[in-house]
Amino acid sequence: MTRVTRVAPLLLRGRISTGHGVIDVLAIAAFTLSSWLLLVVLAGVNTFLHRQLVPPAGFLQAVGAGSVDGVQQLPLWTVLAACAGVLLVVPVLTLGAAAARMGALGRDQRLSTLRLLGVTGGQVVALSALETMLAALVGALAGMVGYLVTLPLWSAIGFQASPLSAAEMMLPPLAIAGIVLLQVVLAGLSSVTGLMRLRISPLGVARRQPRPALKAWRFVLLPIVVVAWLAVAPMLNLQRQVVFGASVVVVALGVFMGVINLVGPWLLQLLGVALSRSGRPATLIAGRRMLADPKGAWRSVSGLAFIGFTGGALASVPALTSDQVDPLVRILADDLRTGTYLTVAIAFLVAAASTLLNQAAAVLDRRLELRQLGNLGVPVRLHHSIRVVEVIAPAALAALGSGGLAVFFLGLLPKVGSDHLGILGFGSALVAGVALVWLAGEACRPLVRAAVS
Amino acid sequence: MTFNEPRTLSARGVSKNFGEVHALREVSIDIPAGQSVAVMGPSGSGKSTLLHCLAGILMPDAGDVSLGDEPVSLSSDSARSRLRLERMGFVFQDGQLLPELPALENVALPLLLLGRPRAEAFGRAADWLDRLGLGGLERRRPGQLSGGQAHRVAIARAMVGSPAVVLADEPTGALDQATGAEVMRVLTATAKGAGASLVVVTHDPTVARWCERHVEIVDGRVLTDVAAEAA
Repeated sequence: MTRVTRVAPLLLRGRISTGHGVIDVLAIAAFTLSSWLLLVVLAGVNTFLHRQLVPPAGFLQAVGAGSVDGVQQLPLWTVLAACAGVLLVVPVLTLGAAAARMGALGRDQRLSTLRLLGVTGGQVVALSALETMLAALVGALAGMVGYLVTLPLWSAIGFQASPLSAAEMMLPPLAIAGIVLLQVVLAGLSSVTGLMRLRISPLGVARRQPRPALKAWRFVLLPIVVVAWLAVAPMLNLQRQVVFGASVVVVALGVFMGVINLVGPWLLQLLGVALSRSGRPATLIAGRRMLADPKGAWRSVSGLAFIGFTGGALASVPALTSDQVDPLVRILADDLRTGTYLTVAIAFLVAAASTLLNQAAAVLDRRLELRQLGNLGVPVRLHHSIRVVEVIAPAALAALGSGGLAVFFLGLLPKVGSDHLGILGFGSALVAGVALVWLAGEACRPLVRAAVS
Repeated sequence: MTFNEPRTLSARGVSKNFGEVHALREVSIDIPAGQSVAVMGPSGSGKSTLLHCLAGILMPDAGDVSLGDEPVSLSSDSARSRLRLERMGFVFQDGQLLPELPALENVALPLLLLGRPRAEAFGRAADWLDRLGLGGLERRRPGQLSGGQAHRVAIARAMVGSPAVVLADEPTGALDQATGAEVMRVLTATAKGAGASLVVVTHDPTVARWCERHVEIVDGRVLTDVAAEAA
């Protein structure tokens, strides 16, 4: 093993100084964003935990006579922040995993050559994981620096009628080190898991098994959740049970997101079947690619599904904030809205990065195929058209599907209806999300041109 | 420590099937130290499969392969990997060079993997590149070299660890005739000079002409096995 680790820096340096540097820079950037956001999300939860013990002066002043009652309600903010954190942690960690997969791109030839030279299968996997972990470490450290440098900017955002301070958002050093370590370990695990699916022999690299088609059981979960929600929703009255009701809504959001993540790839598989029946080459090829890897296609847009669903929640918040007399409820409603916007913003960032990363990875993965098609006279614009369909179709399905679900379920809540402002915000979130995904896809245009030429 | 002490690469009754296809049928062959052998045959005859079995890349379904007193076909994957690293060198059709590494590092790679000190590894790699007429091209990556130059880098990498046997699969397949002849001249002379056995798989008689012995395989069986003069 030590002998193999000796050549790792050599290979890494060579990779950076050649064309693969683009892939690695993107992967490191994704690791940076992932660790930065992970630190921010955990710092947010930690802040509310801290405020439970030391209530901010602004909050005590705002709730006035009801301050004793108000302080007793502070754990709710922690619970809400934790729920938002849980919802965000999954796409953020998925981004890290995508970065790890991307880092492994273009290594096929190298892996088989090393096996030919006498490196064992285990050593090859270890070498690859080590490289990915090095990239993750660089990214995680850069993310940590980004988190530390931007700490003072949090004072522009207020919760509990008090601005966040840099000191509040500062996690203990051990926690920061732990998150950096977690990022590195998870990247290594993602890399090893990915490589375990490959058969790396001295003659080449092959996938152990073709990806099986996704089964319809995934879709069955959706009606189960619908029935459960139909039973729970009428019992909630947010005017009277704001604390309990809001908690249930947030937990329900988490459950729905989990179900959407299971159902989404299966629906994309169906969409792939429909698109592949088209007579247009671009639509047909995009459909076939979607069919070949519906989970991969979903990974690109799962963040957008999240935005769609959160947007649905956002649409209901204005009804909650209007005509509230109780200062505690007013603060909570304001904070719910701020928190939702913040969560949506983070989800936007993750979705943009995921799309860019996955699209760039797809282009680089198909470089040889693109060049061969170019040699056959296939015009570059066909690849651009394929990408547009490949990007927009799943994005629209994810955003509109999850958004529609959110509107449907939140519409079932008594006394929480969508007003025009909410719908506008919701619609804007979806349009912006799809546009962002399209833009991220278009950013890969030069990569396609370079691959073809 | 040198690894090119006299050893015979031996295959005894080797058979290999791919599903219904019998790629090799009870093939036996002995290759003494220092001898160059061309394994010839039409496409699909089983010649590459034989090379892969000799190298321990593929496991025969029946029969044994050994290098001197070391079993190749019976040992574990990690033992076969170690054997390839310590005793064998490879020159394949596309060179199998790592595209991201400069020529010098590509050649030094086996020595680094063997745990040799960095200075020694790079010194010997530079020496081999120089011997093969590639002095001054050490920092060039495979993509910046001509086909012939890249193959010579692959030969240098195959030889740098002083292997007992060099295995070459269609080493000139991607080259024009003149460059192919030059690569074969360098390959056979280098292996001979180092005392290593050389096994070249080819369908091209002009390539085989460079070797001392010709083995022809048809339908997975050895059809002829003769000295070059008699071929």
